[in-house]
Amino acid sequence: MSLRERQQQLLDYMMGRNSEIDGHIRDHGAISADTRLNIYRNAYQVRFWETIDTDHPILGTYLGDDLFNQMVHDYIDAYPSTFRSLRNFADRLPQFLTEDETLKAYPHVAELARFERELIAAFDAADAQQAERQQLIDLDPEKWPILKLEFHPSVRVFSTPYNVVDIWQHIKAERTPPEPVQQDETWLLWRNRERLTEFVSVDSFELTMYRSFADGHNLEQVAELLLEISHSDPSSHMVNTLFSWLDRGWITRLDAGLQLVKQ
Amino acid sequence: MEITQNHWVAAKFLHNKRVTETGSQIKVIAMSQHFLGFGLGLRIDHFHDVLEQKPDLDWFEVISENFMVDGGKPKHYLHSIREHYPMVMHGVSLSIGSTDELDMAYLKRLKQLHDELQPEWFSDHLCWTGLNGINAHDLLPMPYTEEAINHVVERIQRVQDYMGRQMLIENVSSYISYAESQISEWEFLHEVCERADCHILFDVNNIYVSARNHDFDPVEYIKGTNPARVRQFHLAGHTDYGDYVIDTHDHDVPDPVWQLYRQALLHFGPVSTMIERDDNIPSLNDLMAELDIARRIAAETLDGDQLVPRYKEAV
Repeated sequence: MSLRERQQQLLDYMMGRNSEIDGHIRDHGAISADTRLNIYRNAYQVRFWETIDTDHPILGTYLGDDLFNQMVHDYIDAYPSTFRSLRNFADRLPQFLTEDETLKAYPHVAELARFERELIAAFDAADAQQAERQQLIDLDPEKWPILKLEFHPSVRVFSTPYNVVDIWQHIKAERTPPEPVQQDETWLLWRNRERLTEFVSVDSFELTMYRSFADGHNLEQVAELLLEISHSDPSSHMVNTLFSWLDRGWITRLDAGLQLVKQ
Repeated sequence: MEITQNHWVAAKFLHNKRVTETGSQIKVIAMSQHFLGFGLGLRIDHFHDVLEQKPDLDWFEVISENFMVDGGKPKHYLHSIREHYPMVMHGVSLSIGSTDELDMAYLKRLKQLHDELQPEWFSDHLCWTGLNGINAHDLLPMPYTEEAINHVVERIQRVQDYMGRQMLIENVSSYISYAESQISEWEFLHEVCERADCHILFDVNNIYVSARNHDFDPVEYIKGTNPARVRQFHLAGHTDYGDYVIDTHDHDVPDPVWQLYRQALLHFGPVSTMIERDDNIPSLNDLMAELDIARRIAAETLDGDQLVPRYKEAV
């Protein structure tokens, strides 16, 4: 019997699959081999349950204990961990929720899980310095048209067809959540200067401006795009938006071509 | 005089001893070059208090996987605390005993964190955690066979080569023993560490837990372990179900583990000691009070000069 075979047998047992491990475990003292093996099988379930419970507190409250426990049980079966860290174990939960026979009938539940995953991703995204508004004030006006932006690694877009952020906020505040409503919403999440995760709703102007800068366009190109969609001079709105981004810590670097903007 | 290899070895040996004169006799006190003193496992719950209070402890152990992230608040705290305390890194998912290939991507991240933190050492467990790419996130015991020894030794050597230094291997608590095991757990640990030339993180609580679960004498385990290999102790609590004991790390260190700690000190001498608490985590002050018990037992058991942490001696 090889080491690999024995390891496969024990893992199968822990995962609730058919296994012949019990014939290879010593049965001595007051506890049977079965009891001994069950300690590992139970721990397997509990460990992953705790991970999802920690990562998805709002989803857990929203579903209630019975539905949440069933979801966790089925997720552990469907998507066993292939990660070194438990931090990633529930990364595929939103996907699972679109496939689960019971919960796929409530597509906003997967969206709620996806929002919580994005909060986690923003929480431990890479560190980077955050530019200050003074850097934009100090920028030579002639350089403004070629200004490009580099965003903080924690900044991410959450677009959803449901009011799940509102639901999330109500549960967080221990209030009764609203009924799910199908409505397109876009939020931006980021980690602020105190390293706390924040999110804000963005309109189509701000989203277009963000995506255009994130795609590497300069301010002149972004302005032209915004002029097309807003049919009015976007300059003033753009400047105010840029300062709000700087204040929130969204921007790590202002790039104005050969003129490096001093920190 | 030409300095030969033997002279150099002798000089290094003497450097590791403190020589004091007592009357006409010269008393040579064995100083552990590796004794860091008394520490705690660094937990998120205590980040703020550690930085605010700068508690009087000698070092922290950090769970490597918790900080294998790109950035964010926990990592910020980690580096801030590192500025004030020596650290050691403790991993939970190297899976050194698995028959899957070694995960080089994991090792790369481990080395990155190691280079960032510059720990006194790094450790993981003598166990396997998964197979066929599936991670059970549990510390699963090995069968104590020649095949398992050869397998683990080769992998520890590869990890040590990659990391460029020796590692510490920790004994795990267990609830099963395999029918094919041919030797005791401590003989297995001994063989692995001697052949792989690695060190031991000796978890006193795990030995108590396994001794209860498998009906062996924990003192035999201690006596069967080479003191020269032991670099660190873990102390922890567990949950006692009467017929068996589960290693939960959610209680204070109980009396039988303290008694075993005393036995371990007698056999191993001064070893860097810490309390490992993973659940139901008490306040930092409560853990400091518990660490004082370890200090007191060590002071009662060993010579005071032996208990000067290495880096404090150098100050």
